[in-house]
Amino acid sequence: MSADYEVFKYRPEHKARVAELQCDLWSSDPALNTAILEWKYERNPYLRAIPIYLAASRGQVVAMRGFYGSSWEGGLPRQEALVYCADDLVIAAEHRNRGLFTLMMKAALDDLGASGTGIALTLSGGLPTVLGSLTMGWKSIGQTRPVRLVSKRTRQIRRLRGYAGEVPVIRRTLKWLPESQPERFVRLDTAATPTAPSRGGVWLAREPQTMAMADLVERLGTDGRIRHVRDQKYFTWRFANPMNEYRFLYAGRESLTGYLVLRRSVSDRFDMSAVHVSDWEGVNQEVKKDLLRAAIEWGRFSELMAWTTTMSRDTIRVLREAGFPEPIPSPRGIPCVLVKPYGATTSARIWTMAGKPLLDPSSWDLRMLYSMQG
Amino acid sequence: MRQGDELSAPSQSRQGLRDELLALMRSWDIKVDGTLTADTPLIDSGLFDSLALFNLVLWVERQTGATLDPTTVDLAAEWNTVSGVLDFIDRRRGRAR
Repeated sequence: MSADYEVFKYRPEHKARVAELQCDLWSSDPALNTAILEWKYERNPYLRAIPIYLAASRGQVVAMRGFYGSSWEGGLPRQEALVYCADDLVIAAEHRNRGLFTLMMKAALDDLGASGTGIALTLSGGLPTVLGSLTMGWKSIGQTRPVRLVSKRTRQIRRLRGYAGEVPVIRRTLKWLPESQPERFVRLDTAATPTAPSRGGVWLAREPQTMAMADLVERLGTDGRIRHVRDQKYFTWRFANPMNEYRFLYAGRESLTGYLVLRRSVSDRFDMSAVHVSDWEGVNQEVKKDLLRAAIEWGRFSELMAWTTTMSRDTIRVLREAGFPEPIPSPRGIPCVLVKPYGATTSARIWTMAGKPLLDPSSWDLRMLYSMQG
Repeated sequence: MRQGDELSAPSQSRQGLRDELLALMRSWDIKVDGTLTADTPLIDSGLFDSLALFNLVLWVERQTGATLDPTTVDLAAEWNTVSGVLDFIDRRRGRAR
């Protein structure tokens, strides 16, 4: 029961224990987990404080919920707001089903609310996290609607596994045939050499051109929908995530006309074979098409995944022409993005930001980059 | 509901469903002060963690014969007790008829 637990805010002396606890979620490597913690919370560009909430039982930290800082903008003219993103929920196995999720979330939102009002988001929660949040008044903005371009080989192996799973001899043989190898961008890096045939002048870099990317975002402007502020400060921090490796496809030299960011996980707790389209911009659909085709042709990935939530029909068409399936809503409503206002206010305006209704999906411009999947 | 989302819904009396659900919840190792009954607050009390909710969603889906989108349900209000969950199932079954 909750009386057995004490919830309190993170302090630096908890770092080693958090890194150990996160072996269930971030990665099996405490050293990598320490690096993730330092990047996400200690070097967060939007918050000096570290809003990580811990629960302890008999003096031992057994659970964590983090709220990392982010900066969002919306409306015309733009209004910016600090937004807390709830993430990194981990509860030690022997302490699950003891009301800890509710206890930590309540303590966190009370604490955040004590210093003002605002909104909190959950951008990449699994079904258990979504369910727990819904019981506490969080609401869904909408589904992220991921689509996957799966290579022929991967499809064949999956089909074979499906057919043969019931036959012990074949199942044992298939064990030695990996569905897909961890993606290391080897094909992409090899194919995208300066002498490779280029599509619309697309080129590859291992490092983010943060200033040029921010400049492109600024030039493209905004339609007033709510989105993360994508300036140089954000890009510099965001692509330093030690849990991921990135590649950057660019169009344009003097000044960028587009970019496409590819992400792979280096954590053994996540699918290491899939590559995600973390962010994708272009001055027009042709540029976006060139970037996507270059990524697919050069990378030849086992699986390439993109979010289609709030994406324009024109951009979804570009995905479809490249071989991605039509996005289909999930009957369970997940994966989705959740929102909750916090702070002591009874105003109806708490479910708005920059004059935009928070629960209307058309108020948002959501990208995978804003979540930790990107 | 889309085709393919339909599950086979077992027909069982309310009493039978209540007993089955209470037995199931006890097997989920939920720590209750006293006895778990059909009116024990599950969500208000913070007793019901996300994993238990996940199991409950799967169970409700089996009873209603349809995939459930929990983001469209006020879980705190509608699923706070076993009785509330059974009422929800009744309403869903009624709607499907």
